[in-house]
Amino acid sequence: MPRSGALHGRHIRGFMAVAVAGILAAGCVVVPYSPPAESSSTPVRLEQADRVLVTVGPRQLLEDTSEALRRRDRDIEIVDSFAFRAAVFPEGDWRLSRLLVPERRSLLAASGADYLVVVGPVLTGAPDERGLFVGTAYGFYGAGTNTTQGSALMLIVDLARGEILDALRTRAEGTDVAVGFFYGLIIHATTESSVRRACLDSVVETLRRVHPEGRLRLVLMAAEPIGSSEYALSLITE
Amino acid sequence: MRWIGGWGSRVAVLLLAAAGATSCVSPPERRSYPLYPGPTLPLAEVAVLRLGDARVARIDGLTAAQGDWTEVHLLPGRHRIEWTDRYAEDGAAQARLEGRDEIRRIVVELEAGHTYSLRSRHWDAVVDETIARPVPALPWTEP
Repeated sequence: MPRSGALHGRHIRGFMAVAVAGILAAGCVVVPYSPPAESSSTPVRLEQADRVLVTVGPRQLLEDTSEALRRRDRDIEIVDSFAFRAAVFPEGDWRLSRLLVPERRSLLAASGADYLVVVGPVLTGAPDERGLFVGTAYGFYGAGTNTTQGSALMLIVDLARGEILDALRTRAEGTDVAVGFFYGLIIHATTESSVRRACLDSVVETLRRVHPEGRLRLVLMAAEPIGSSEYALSLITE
Repeated sequence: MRWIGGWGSRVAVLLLAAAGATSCVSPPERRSYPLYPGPTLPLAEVAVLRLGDARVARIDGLTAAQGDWTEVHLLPGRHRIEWTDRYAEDGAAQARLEGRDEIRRIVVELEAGHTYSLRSRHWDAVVDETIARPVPALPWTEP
């Protein structure tokens, strides 16, 4: 009977054989990497807050964000967005400016949440392509790079005080590199997920700075611009 | 009928059969987006608008995408609906073949207890499925 070490070695050799066979068959290897992302606070201008609606429209984005935040901090509790919306905007008119008026503070404090996190989607700019890399039926040829910038904004509202706690902007730049001479090698930058991860990390860090211990009740919503197709949170940040 | 094997295999077969049956029969998950203020209202008090052929629609300025919702619940009354359609008033077939997107904008009057559906055909953009009739489109006006 083989020893466990020998069995382990045999598994590794088997895996490598399958990997090499896969590379030879496919003719191309894709290696993902996570480009560094930076988050920083950005000043908020509330003059345009009446042009921004808080919404629960992007359900999948909000659910994914909720799970990702809870993975980062087990003491985070997510409050139902619809219940929050009904409690805080009983008459409708879901404008961000309405949320921040002093008369609404009692409703915010009684909403069952400590902070509202307004989640912005990750935006990617137009790629900057250089070189030439082509994939054909006879293999991959050439060399090229493709640089993409990603960014996202998140807004944190302190519901006990009825004011903005912070607006966080995260940026990353990733470059895909591809080279080929029959076989191809592509180093792929996962810019969008780098931005999303760093953005969520900075939200948790910011909240834990002001609320170091204990349960954190968050409500997650998204934002939409009124009468335009602009990035909603960019209307209220510099 | 004679079973081969013991209870374990019988249970496994039944579980597999149940899983197979439910995966084939169960309808797609219904996800409703209430676009009205206050607590959830009974279906008899709201108009249900199925996104139907629209991948993304803006209803009274709020976006609802197919990946997120299957239908929107609205208070009865007049609503402004915008969505991207591959059919156009002019050269409909060509627009579809070339994959051109056309923005459709209509205003419709919706009734409580009725279910409506967005369609990709210009002659019946919104259909009242409760009475199987197209809904007359009112002229679009900017808010």
